[in-house]
Amino acid sequence: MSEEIRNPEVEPEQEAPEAQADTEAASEAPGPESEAGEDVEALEDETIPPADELDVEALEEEEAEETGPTLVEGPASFASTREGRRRSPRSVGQEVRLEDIDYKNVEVLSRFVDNFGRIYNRRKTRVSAKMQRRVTKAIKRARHLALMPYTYDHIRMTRRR
Amino acid sequence: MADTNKLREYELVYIIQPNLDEEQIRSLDGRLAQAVERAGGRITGTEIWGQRRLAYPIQKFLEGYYILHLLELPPEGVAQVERSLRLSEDVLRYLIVRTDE
Repeated sequence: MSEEIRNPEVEPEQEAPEAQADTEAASEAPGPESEAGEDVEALEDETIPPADELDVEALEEEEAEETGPTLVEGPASFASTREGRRRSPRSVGQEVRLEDIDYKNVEVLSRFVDNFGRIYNRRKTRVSAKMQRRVTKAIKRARHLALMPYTYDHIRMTRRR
Repeated sequence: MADTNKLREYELVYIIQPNLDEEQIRSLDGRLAQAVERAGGRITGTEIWGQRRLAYPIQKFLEGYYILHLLELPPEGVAQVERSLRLSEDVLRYLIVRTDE
């Protein structure tokens, strides 16, 4: 069963027309590995394939990922996790040592913050819980001392003048 | 730990409003040093970052004069030092953290 699903082109000839529509929708979106995984669910439940719902979910995931560097390549196990969410690449906290985390070290801390000054969550940073705790704390201290912005408004205000 | 005379190491960073001249900054910092001594501690190191751009305006100021001190203080002395920082209107922000943990 799973062997056939790996190859989306084979399916339309074998399956009902509803399933065909499903695979078409999937092939439009980038990141074929994870979409194939969702097809498995659709085919197992052959009564009514909820094509629309699946599409919406896929789009939401797409949007969520656009906040940072998108990079979905390599093996399928990398592309999707248990919950069907794609893992973020290990780029944010890589090669940051625990000793470097300090509220004075704005250069390092700004890697853990997006363009709006918001702190990335652990799913995004992929660092240990210990590291994440120290990073958050340090960022909050840096904000207090006006070394880092609290909100996007602050970034705009200081940029203008 | 139960020893009441025990000193702890702290790091103090504070921001002075940017319109003060050298003289005023020095006297402000001198008053702080006195407060530290009165609290039974001492300043073990100083780093003057100088005028820096603030990440957001504080009291309409866009820049601030940053000074870092390394302190040794009895735990009860922290409140006294903080009080003297709070009393001065030229101090925009301050942060005292322990560094000996």
